[in-house]
Order: sequence, then C-alpha cells, then structure tokens
Amino acid sequence: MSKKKLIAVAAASAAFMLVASGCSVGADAGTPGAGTDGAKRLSFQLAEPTSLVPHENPGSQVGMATCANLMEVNVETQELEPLAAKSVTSQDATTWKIALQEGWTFQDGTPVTADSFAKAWSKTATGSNAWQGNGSFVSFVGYKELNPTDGSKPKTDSLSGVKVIDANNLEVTLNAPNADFPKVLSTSPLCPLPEVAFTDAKAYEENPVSNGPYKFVSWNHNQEVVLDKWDGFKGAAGFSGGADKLVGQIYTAVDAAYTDMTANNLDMIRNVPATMVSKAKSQLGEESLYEVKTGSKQYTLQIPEYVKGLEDPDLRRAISMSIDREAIAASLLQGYATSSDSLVPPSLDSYKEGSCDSCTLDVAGAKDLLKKAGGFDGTLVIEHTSTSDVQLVQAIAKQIQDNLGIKVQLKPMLGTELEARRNNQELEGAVFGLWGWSYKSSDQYLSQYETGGDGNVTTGYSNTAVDALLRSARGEQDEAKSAARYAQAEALVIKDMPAIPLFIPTDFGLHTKCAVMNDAQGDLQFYRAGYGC
Amino acid sequence: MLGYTVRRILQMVPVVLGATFIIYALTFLMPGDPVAALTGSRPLPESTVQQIRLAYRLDDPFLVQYGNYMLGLLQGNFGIDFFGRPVLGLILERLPVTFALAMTAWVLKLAIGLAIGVYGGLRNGQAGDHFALVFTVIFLGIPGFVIALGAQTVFGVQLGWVDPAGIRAGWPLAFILPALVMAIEASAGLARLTRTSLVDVLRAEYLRTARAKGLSPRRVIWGHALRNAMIPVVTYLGLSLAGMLGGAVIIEAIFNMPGIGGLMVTAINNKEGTVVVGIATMLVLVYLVFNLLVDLLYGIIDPRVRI
Repeated sequence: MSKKKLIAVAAASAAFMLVASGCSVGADAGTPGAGTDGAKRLSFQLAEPTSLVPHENPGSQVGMATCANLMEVNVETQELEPLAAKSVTSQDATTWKIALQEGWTFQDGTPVTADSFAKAWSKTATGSNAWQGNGSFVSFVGYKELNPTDGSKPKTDSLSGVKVIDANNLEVTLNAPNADFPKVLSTSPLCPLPEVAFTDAKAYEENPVSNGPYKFVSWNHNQEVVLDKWDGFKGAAGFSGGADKLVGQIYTAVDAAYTDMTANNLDMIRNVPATMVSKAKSQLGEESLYEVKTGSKQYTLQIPEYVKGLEDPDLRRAISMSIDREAIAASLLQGYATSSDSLVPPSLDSYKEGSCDSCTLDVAGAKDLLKKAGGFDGTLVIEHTSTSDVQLVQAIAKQIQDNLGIKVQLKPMLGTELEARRNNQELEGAVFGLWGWSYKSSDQYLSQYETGGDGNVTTGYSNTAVDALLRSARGEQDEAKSAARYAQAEALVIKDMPAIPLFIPTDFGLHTKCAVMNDAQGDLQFYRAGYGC
Repeated sequence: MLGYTVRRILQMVPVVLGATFIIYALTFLMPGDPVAALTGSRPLPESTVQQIRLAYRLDDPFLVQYGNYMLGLLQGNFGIDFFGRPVLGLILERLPVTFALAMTAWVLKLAIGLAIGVYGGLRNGQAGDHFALVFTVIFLGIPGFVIALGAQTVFGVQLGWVDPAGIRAGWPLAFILPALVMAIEASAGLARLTRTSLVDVLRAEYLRTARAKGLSPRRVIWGHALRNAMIPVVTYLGLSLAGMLGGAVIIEAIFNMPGIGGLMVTAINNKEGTVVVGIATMLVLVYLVFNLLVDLLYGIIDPRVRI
C-alpha cells in the first residue's frame, strides 16, 4: 500500500469513528423543549441518580420533588403539617390512625388510596428487594417477618402492622410507642406508589409517576433530569416551589458545578464546602449565598466502649478540653461553624447550653484530669475517612497532641472500609464523623446512645437509665415533656462522654438571582425554591 | 497474515483471563465492605445487609465468586451493580463520551504533534527547531490539570465560547476544549519523537544515496525520510490512542464529562467489583486490539517486516 493510500485510510477511519461516536453523543442533548423560553426555569446540581424512585434512593432531590408525603414541612411556617393526609392521630403513640385527603390523584390520574401507601411500604420493607429505604420500617409491627435473619424466604409479602381500613383510612401499629411517627411519615421511603409501579416495575423505574408538586418529564442519563410543575397538585404553596420547570443537571464533582454557575449555566448548588463559600463570596457576591438557618449536623469524635485504654470518662474529658474549638472554627472552618457543647445541635428543643462542661479549651484543667485518670501512655488512634475533612481531623489531632502531651495517630481510610470497621466493631480508637438527622428530632441524635439504637453500633454505649429515659421520651406526645426527658438522657450520657462534641457546621447553598432558595427545617430542598426573576 | 492475526487473537484469551483475574482479586482484597457504602453512616438493619450479601453472593469464597463472574461474562452478562443496574448498560451509557473525547483528542494531537515534529526535524538546529523545542518543554512541564483549569476559566467562563462543563452542547462543541487540552499535552511527546526520528533518518546513508541518485529534495523527504521516520511514531500513536481511552479521568472530572473514567473512580471507592472488572476487561480488550492493529500496520509501512 502506498503512503498516500495509508494516510487516506487512516483519515477515513478516524473520520468514520468520529462521525459514529458523534452521532451517539449529545444527539438528544441540549435541546430545550419548545416553548420553554420565558417559562420559569430553574436548574440545580444533581449527581447521576441510582434511581428516581424515592424508596430506593431516599434523600434524592428528584424523589422529594415528585412525591407528596402524608406529612411534610411547610416552608412558609417551617412546621410539620399534614399534606397527603387529612389527619394523623394516636392515643398511645403506638397505634396510629391516618386519614387521607379525599380526591387526591397520582399524576397519571389514578387515585391515591390507603392501598397506595400500604403496598409501597410492604414492598420497601421486604429485605430481599434491597431497597435502601428498608430501614425506615424497623419500628413497624411485621417488619421481622419480612426480613428473616436466617436468609430464608419470608412467608408473607405485607407488613402486618399496616391495616387498610378503607380507601381513605389506614392504621399503623408500631413495636413501641413513638411520638415522632408523623415525622417518619415525611421521609422519602414512606411515599405512596401508584398501581403501575407494581404491574410494570421495570418501566416505572425509567418513567416514575407520583403525587407530588413536580412531575417527571425525562432523564437523559449522566446529563439531566427534567421535571415540570404538576398543575394537579392540591397542596398549599408552602409545600411546592416557584419554578415551572426544574432541570437537575448532572455533575460528577461540585467544582465543575461551581464553574458552570460562574458561567451562568446553573442556578442552585447545595452542601457547599467551606472553602468554596469564601471563593463564592468574592467571585459571585454575598447575595449568591444562602445560609441554612437550622443547624442540623454535628461533628463529633466518638469513642467506642470496646476500645481498651479509653474507658475513663476523665481521660475523655481531658481530650475534649485540649481541643480549641473556637480557634479551629474561626481559622480552618473560616467561621462557617460554631463550637458544640452538647450531644445535640442547639436547634433541638432538648438542647441545654453548656450541657458539656468540658467542651471548652482549658489546657491546665485537661492536664489535671489526665493526671487524675492515671495518665495515658498509649497512642490515641483517630480513624476517619480519607476523602473529607482531612485537614479538620489533622488540626484536632495536633491540638490534642500539643496540649495534652499524648501521642495521637491518624488512620485515614476509604469510606467503605471505615463503615465496615464501624459496623463490625473493629475500630482501634476514636472515630471522627459527621452526623445529621433525617427529620428534626432529638431521637435522631440520642438513639446513638441507646442500647441497639440507630447508630449505636459505633460506640456500643449502653446505660439502662438512659435507655429508660429515651423510651419514655419517645412515647411522650407532649413536646415539652418529651424534650425535658431527652435533655435528662443527654445529661446522663455526656457524663460518660462516649462522644466528644466538636462543631455544628453552617450549611450553605449557592444560587443565582432567579432562584430563591428555601430550606425545610434545615434541609435545603431544591424544589422548594421560589422564582425571583 | 491471516494466520498471524488468528494466532494473535488466540493469544489474547489468556491475557484477558489473567488481567480480569488480577483485577478481580485486587478488588476483592481491597479493605472495606461494599454493602456499607450503600447508606453512608447510618447502617442498614442487619437483616437487610444479610439479604443483600446473599443476593450478591458476597459470602462465597473468592474463587467461586470469580468463577460465577466469568461464567456470566462468557454469556455476555457483565452482572449488576449494588443498585440493581446492569453493568453493561452503565458502561455503554458512558463509552460513547469517552470514545468521542479520546478520538477527538487523538486526531488533534496527531495534527499538532506531527506538524511541530516534522517542522522541527526539517529545520534541525535552526530557529524553527528551537521554537518547537520551547513549545514542547512548556507543555511537558505544566501539569495537565493546570492547563485544563486555565482553559476552562478563560474560554468557558470569561470568553464564554463554549460551556465550561458538561456535554449539553453535544459533539463537537462540548468536546473541543477538553480534547484540545488533552491533545496539546500529549502532542509534546509526539512532536519530540517525530523530530528525533526524522533527524536520525535524515542522516542515514540511504538518504545520501537517494540524493546522490538525483531525486528531488521533495521526493527525498516525503517518499523516503518521512516514511522511515514514521515507523516508531506509528507504534506510539496506536498505543497512545488506547491509553487515551482509559486515561482521561482528570479531564473528564474537570469538564464534567460523563465518561468511563468517572465511573471507574466511583466504582473503586464503593468497592463495586463487577463494575471495576467490567470496565477493566473492556479497556484490556481495547488495548489488545489496538496493539494488534499497530503490528499489522507495521507490515504496511515497513516492507522489511513481513507477517
């Protein structure tokens, strides 16, 4: 073959490959629907969803926008109110009567009935479906039967604790009294599912239909998810948002989303890292930042009970007193965090200022306590994930080492490894972590210190007095009484210090002029944004 | 040549088997629990974890898991990930993006690298050669992500010629900037190789002979010098295309291109063995095929190599 032919072949094949690939890339991308010009359109940052069905992928912004739960937070009042339910009541906090709004439908016109909820819950609670929302149903009567621990097939396919009374009435029985049940009803795994989700589950995955303020339009994988406002939504304005069209643009990293925002291609970002907040302030201006008013997250250093050498509460207090929270919050966290002095964030009713009396820097006092505890000649191991907040852990470790004069060793690792060590109780020392609530309740924080409670596996902390107080607080429907008992429990736990409170981070969202961001009790939800242009 | 090709294809079988085995073993040995990655810091109930472990046969011994995986692979079944999505679908969704990016970058690199290399080689020791040298040193010296972030800010954000992130604009508009960044970086090496190879060939005795025979300078350069100088370059080009398909992770992340690289990184973080091995197997196959193509091309350029 001559040289000319060779070049021609090479060029032709390259051109062919380009055309071939060009056809399949972006062929259906970037074509804004006809007539959308002038519509109230807002875009938000999204990661490629693992599923659009809220039960399978709880916490997904798409799932939240498309589903109207029985109870939801109204962003105008910031209170939990009935939405798809007319009322949710109970005498004993164990058996709950739920009356549905009459005449509500799904976006395909089929009615929302008690069955829509009962069937969806049973399917989610069935362990073999491996849906991520499964854990929300642990407290329901009948959960155990759907999730046999010996790997056998369950003998039933429905939750026996959920009774359908008639088309508009449900009754739920829990294993133990829980006054927070209405809050549980506001989470993604408790959404209803229409009939089509059961008759053709596979098609439903790609084309979900629900009962919420926004309806699903299209999902161009790895690029965008488009939602339209549903005009059949009967809830109040505080449960919906101002945009007519919501576009979830898919990004693999928040940095790329930020760059796109600086180029005016994106309207909303949430969970903005502290370093990006300062950058945004100077590049996009102060008005681009939305500060979430309700602090819902907390950084702690948890100390497993099974780790030898760290059992003495005085030693734990000494460690806590050697950390200069104020300095780290002001410098490293750039002022976007406050120091924490309780095992719950201040936004909860059970919070008592200064509940932790050893959560402020006191080097001399820390050294005295260390002496009282008989000193510490081992190495304090701190395990943490290698992908986030590394500098923060380093700063804390350095302060403990310098102020207390003990050896501190950091153990960074991948999240999967840390989770496995945590869940199998294989930690070798303290563990640095961030905790948040699924709904605003002291229980979401304090259950970590209840024997066998949600998140208890990390520390394995167990105290019968605390268990009794938490049980009674959970069953109490009077909010003030309940909060007082949670506070009592917290005061007991902090004495043993299974966790050292560190910081309450400030959450930020970034937005353009058109997007008026809103949070629902500390949770920034994109679909709640108003339209300001 | 047919016999040679068949032999080479048969040789691929043990290579693919060995590569998948090593990658599968490495993923298996990685610390951590894949089920833990599903929910973050809120552990799933014990019973659910057990059901998932059963469904994905995570408690089987390593060799049994690997055997099952390979049996599936032979039937064209790449398995499913922990969210129940078919792995083949995940790969095919993203492959066109990586392919388009790599091909565009490769063609651009070819044009830029060869032009500078040939120019420098022909102007050996003159000002033009020095210019080529400076160009290559600069682009070999600056880390790729710096060029990428700089180009993104200037052309994407400030001038607004293209979208700084994402592929909404489709090919070619959304691919030009990232491909150009990749090409500029990679073309420096190509230019160097071409220049050196050409300078060497120009000093060869058969070229003196060609000139002595009275051939026109143009014939000497295009017909003899370049053709011979291209032999090492073709090897490099073929393998670098395969490399570009697998090595665009950083560029894909910066420009938010949903390609194979990003999928691979997430899968490794979540310890999703089926996804990691699926992608790796595919990349190994691509590499082997390109290797074969390069070797076949040799025979065409260099008649001394008969296969």
